Amino acid sequence: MRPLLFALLVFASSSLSAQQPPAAPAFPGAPAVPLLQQKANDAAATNASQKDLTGYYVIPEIPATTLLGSTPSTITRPATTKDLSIAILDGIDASGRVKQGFAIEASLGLLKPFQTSLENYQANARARIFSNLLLSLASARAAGDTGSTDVAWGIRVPLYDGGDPLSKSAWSERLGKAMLACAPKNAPGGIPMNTGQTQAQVEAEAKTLALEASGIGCLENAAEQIGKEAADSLWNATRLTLGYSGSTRFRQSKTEDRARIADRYWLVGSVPVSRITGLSGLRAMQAIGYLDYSHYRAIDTIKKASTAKAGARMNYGSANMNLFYEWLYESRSNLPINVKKNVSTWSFGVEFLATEGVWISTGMGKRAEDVFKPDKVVLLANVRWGIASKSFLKN
Amino acid sequence: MPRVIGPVDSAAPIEIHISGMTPHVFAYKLWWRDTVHAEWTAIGEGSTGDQTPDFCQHAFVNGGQIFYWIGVAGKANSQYDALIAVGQHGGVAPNGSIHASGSTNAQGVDVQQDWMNFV
Repeated sequence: MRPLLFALLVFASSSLSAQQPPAAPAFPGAPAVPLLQQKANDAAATNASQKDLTGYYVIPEIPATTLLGSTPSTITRPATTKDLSIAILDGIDASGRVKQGFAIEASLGLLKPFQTSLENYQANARARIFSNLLLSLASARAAGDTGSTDVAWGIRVPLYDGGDPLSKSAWSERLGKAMLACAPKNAPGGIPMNTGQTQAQVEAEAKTLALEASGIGCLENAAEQIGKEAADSLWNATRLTLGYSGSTRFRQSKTEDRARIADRYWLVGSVPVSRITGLSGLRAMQAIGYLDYSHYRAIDTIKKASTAKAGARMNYGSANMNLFYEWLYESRSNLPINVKKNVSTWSFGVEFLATEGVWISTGMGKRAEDVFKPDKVVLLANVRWGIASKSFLKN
Repeated sequence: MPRVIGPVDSAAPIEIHISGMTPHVFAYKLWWRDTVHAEWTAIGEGSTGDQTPDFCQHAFVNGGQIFYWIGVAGKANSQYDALIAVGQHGGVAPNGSIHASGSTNAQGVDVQQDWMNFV
């Protein structure tokens, strides 16, 4: 199959490019996103005459940033509730005004009531949802008004993720075995014998000894290896993710003078076609559905508008490559008379994993014509990363 | 930080339970030494990722020490917490409840290691 894919790529090479997601965590949950990719998508949308036809099938990891005119350059990802509190308080300056350019992404699992053991995580779907639910908060300068600040918040809810290896005991057992091979053969030398020291004395001895952590590199390799195997096995799992983002303008950045701007909702799901049809021969085929609705209120220079998008996509391939066909529908309100309010497009193409963390995708079809006239080839958003990478160990 | 655990009953074995309080996989290995056997000897290993009970025990000897190594894997930059409960007769000994906690690195892993003295 690989020669065919390369042939297609050469054929479509007039606008071929690679997408390189940021370095990824060993296990799911961390920023899968492709914030860089999202930026690229946003840029592509802007270049394509504001058609915003890229980025489908993707619920951004940080939904809050989608309603802001710009993406904050630094995103804080607190690992503790204390860090989260500090990050939120940092969003307000000493005079009580909202700061511009901050972004926070945090998991609900940080909070004590939602913390859960691995055993419960594997047994309880609700525990998994709460543990992986991501909250985001971001701010940016309001367009055309340097003194005002737009603040957006978002939530990303993995309602079901059949591709999460941590949720499956078979994978956690394999990971545990691989990790155990990283344990040191012997206890380190230099630890003082137990001669009846007090707690204060052993603490002082520990400071002098300063033991170094042993086996970190080995653990990273073990997690990466098991992660790759999980990705190969679980790429075509059933998933359903819900996203929401809302935004408010703070005029002159004052917290007491504010107005709601917009709301946006996403729902994306994927399912193996073999599960729908019962045909085991279609195990390598994946169906994806996509819904996206946004509504802007009329405030300041922003016009009232709504956009509804729907899409369906079929992938055929593996964790490393696939052929795809997709259909997209978009309906917009409040457009000039000579602009079509309802647009339906289609595309097909191929995408494959070129090297570690780098996906190349290309395609052609009506969507391509609409976006990149006169070129009839278009680079599509990296769908694989958007829909499935979160549960893979690299994202 | 190392711990001084006790006073313990010198006639009863030391019992160690390891449990994960967060959705991470904890792999562990334990060693023992005392005034009679001054060389570290592995007394238990395992992982919370499987269904096997994470428990081991060792007879108490004067000057007893345990060194533990715990490897952690889970989500990147996530807060983890493993509880090492050390006790006797099915209960936890004084100062015997140890939380090995911290945050995983960008690759989703971390290591905790330390020792405990029994008195």
